[in-house]
Amino acid sequence: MTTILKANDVTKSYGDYTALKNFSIEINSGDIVALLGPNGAGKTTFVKSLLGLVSIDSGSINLYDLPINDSRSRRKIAYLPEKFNFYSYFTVLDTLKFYSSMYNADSTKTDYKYFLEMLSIEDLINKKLKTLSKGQLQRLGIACSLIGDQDFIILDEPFSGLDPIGIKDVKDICMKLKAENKTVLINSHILAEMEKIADKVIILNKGIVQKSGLMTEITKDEALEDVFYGLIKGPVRTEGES
Amino acid sequence: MMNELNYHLIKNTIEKEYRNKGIITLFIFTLLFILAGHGLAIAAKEFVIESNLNTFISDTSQGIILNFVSFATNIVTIFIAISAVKSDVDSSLINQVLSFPLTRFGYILNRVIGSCILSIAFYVISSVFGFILLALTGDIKFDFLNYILSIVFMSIQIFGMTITGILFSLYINKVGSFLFTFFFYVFSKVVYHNVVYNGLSFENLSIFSVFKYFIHFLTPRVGELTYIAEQVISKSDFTIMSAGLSVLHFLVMCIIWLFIIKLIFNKREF
Repeated sequence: MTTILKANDVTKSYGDYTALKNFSIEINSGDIVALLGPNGAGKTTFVKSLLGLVSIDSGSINLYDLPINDSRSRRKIAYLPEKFNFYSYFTVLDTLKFYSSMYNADSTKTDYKYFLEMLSIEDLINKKLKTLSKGQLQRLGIACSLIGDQDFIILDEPFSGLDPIGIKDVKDICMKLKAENKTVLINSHILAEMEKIADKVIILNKGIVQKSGLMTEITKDEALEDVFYGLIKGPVRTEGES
Repeated sequence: MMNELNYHLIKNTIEKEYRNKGIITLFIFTLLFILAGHGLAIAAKEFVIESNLNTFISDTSQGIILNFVSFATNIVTIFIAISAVKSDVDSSLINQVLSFPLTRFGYILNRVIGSCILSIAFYVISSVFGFILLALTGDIKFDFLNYILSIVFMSIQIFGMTITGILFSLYINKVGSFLFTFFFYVFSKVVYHNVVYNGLSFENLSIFSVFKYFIHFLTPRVGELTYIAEQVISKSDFTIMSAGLSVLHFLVMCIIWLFIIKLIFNKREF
């Protein structure tokens, strides 16, 4: 098992507000990791730190044994942001072609319809993005993150804006990625789905890890939702407590 | 892989601007203005009785068209430049683009190159259209070497204006960026002519003279390059050595400002 991502004692503050405090994580190849937490817990801050979109105050993050300020560390990753966006006057197909080419996929051989069918939006292939609904745009974003067949896929709130069919589609995709031994890091609030998909879970609150470990162990005695609620609504664990 | 990434990002820079139709609209208006101007010149010649004025209109039509195309190209260059990076930042698309294995400087450079290619294409197509119109009425005095030189000087100028537009767009909204870049273009020309006619003097420095010398020494001399390009277009005399030194200063300043953009952009958080 290869370690793909290793973050040690990462701290990041925005002015007086500490978004992450001594955050550590290790993700191995083939892991499906759920990063959970209430709004403002630091989940998106961590994802942005690992992609080099924000700088960290202290600590280190290595991706594929390279420091994150080395752009080569991002060669094998695909990223779905919290709010997927692209030029509104581009069509769905144009958008997929752009992502396909940027992931160095052979655009002449890429079956674009296949990726759209996975997310039930194959009929929209020639539609301009400005005509898509929020949910349709989100599905397109997921398709774009899959099209390069990257090894490590980071999904920030992938269920956002999706209807129940869309949520099922994404869940099936995650299971498919798991079967293909891909590595996935998912930020989400949808605890019930995360409980079914993820192998490992990290629960963040106010930038501090409240609990982390294998999903099967954390949910041994109670549902993930109850564990989560107990941790978030109970006394906040400060750094150093187990 | 890095070369392919750069190629695709440059291609995307060009596509995102011409598909936006804003540039296409400006292009069509430019051609219409050239057509209208040329039509007016023909109508004026028909009404003119004195043969000298008739000849004057024929002789100056080419210069007027090319100077207009040059001005329109600068406007289009500013429009493209202020949108090249700003549109990505405003739409949060920047998060996705920077998640690819690209350096931030590579991203900026690709947007600069793509913007320049589109602006140069605008200049070439508009000027060729102008030449075709002039050829149809026999008013053309086409010199291929001079035309190529004008493209070279225009390309260098476009490079400088693009960098300036992108730099302003990192801090200011689109309207403000357009105004600041346009005023920089105008001030650069004013400063150049002021320096040529009044010379350089560091006595009795005023705010205007400090500003003037900052523009003259520490920014790409768009005004000087525009003047050289006009000399080339009108086939006036100019010394190759002095043009070469001007171009060298311009390019060095562009590189310095490009690295300033790099420093600013590297520190930005998205």
